[in-house]
Amino acid sequence: MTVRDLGYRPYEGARLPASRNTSVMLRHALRRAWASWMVKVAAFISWVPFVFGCGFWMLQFWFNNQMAQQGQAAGDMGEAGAQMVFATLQWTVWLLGFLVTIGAGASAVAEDLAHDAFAFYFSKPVTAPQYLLGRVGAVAIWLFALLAIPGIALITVIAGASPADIRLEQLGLLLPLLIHSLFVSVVLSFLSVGISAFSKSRALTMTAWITLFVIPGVLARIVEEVGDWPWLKLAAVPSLITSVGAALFKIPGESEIEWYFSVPILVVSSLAAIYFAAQRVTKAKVIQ
Amino acid sequence: MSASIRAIRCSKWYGKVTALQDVSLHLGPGIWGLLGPNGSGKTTFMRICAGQLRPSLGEVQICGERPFNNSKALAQIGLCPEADALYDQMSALEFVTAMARLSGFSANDAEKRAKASLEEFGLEDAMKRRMGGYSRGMRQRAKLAQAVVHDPKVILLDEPLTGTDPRSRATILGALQRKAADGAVVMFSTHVLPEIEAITDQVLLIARGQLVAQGKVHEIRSLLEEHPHHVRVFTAEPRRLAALCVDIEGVVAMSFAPGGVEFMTYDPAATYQTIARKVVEHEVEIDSITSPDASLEALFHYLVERAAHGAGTGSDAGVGRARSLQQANPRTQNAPHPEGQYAQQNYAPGEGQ
Repeated sequence: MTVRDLGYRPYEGARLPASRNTSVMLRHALRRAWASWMVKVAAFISWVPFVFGCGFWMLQFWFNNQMAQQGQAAGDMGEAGAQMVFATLQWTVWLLGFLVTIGAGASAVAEDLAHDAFAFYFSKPVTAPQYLLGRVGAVAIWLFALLAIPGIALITVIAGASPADIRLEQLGLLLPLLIHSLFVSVVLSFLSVGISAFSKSRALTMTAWITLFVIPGVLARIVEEVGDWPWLKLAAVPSLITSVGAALFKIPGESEIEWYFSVPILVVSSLAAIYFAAQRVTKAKVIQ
Repeated sequence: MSASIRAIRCSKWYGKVTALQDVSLHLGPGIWGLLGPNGSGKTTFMRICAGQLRPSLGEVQICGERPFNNSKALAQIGLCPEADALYDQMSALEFVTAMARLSGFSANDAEKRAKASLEEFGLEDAMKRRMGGYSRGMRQRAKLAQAVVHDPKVILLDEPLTGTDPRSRATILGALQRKAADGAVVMFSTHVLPEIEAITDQVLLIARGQLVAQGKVHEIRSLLEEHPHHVRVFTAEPRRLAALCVDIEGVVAMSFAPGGVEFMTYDPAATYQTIARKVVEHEVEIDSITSPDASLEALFHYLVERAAHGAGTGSDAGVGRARSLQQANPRTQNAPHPEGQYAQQNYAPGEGQ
């Protein structure tokens, strides 16, 4: 056959390298995550603890001042600050972590699998790790922002409304807050996106994630109350995260599970989840 | 490197099932229709060309490069997959811009190109609306816009006209013809024959995983000299007409079809004349004389049937021993190859590199 060369007219401008597609995928996934109403609700309610925390702290500050004026011993505001930030984080991890991972994480890969959307992505110069980094990164960034930003604002208010001698100590809570937020974001994003690769059915992956997130925690609490046996918490993601948070904020007696049990379990399960997701995406992308 | 698709003895197996067998071809700029029934291997071949599958044997080159895991080759490819995989919450502009960005354009360039591409496919008024509210035709056009947004040299379209209305079809076909005129290779798969006839006469026929014919429709037609043409006469007196025409020269078979008589002949022109003469002479009332062979449909079915007799491969065929068209029919082995190439071409590995 004669091949007619009609003279292709190529695009003359510059093209950016394919390695840049990780950030493109990430931005694309961030926009898709924001399209979920659950992420929007999470963004709104992430400020509720901050408002309540500020109000409570102002009340405590006023109460301590009154006590001091009357010559009575005031409470330890340094310890109280750490407890308040920790309690706020616990509340937000349970609620925000749940909403963001359900809305953006637990259905991320399933939706693309169901729609065969990989055909779009992988016909462009995009690799499976780039795709997955985008998906995981979007969940982690949203979660980190919703946990850390109100937390930073709360610590700033706490430090500002504390006596000058403990102000620096209060600001020191920023470091555990950032570490905790980062750890929680990475773990929950890895686990939820990993679960989302289990099936093409969004309903199934979301149900699986809800089950994993909620049921072991509730059972562990019941078993602990009834049988005084805390070790079932090792199977409950929020309880494991609580123990890590308690260690970071140095809150004694908050968790019966030590952080050195929790961290390896969370790290290994997160890595296993993301490895599984990578395998699924690679297989869905290409049949070797 | 000019735009081209080259397949060199390309085969693909899924376990024991052969989806594609020994396909060799070389396509240059222009529009090529990839025809085949469901399960014949069209999508597998498209996916191999798009770098999403690795051939089990042989290779495919896009503009001289193997596409599998090759970002340089992938940058030259625009794929419109068959799946209706658009994100309902996103607008077409956001979606096509994202695809342009993945093809290496900066944010500003990507948005400009996305707008131009969507306008080319007639979505200028709807590009900022969520795609969840789009009709099927609009969704297809959004998919096509993302496939061409980065000026690919090779455009692979898997059933692009599925579910489109006539207006959308006209828009899509016009845009594809412009791309082909610009020098791109457009490969267009479908199992609906008139879709191909509307846009090109260059066809590749694939059946049971084998390329059974390639070239222009009339060239393929002339190749099939041994295939008797069908002439159908619709009449209220089929028995009388059959009795009158039983001695027509060239007619090899005659059968009663619904509403008339169907003749199989090697000399259709003479058969038409003779039937017309006899109808006039004997005053037989007829409604019409037609030839189902006039459409590509008949040719397609004939080739598919012939491949089915000679082969047992393809995702719809399960496991079986396959023979190529040449093996199945010795007449095609020595068929002339002037401009179009009929049947399979056997490339030596590395030829033309």
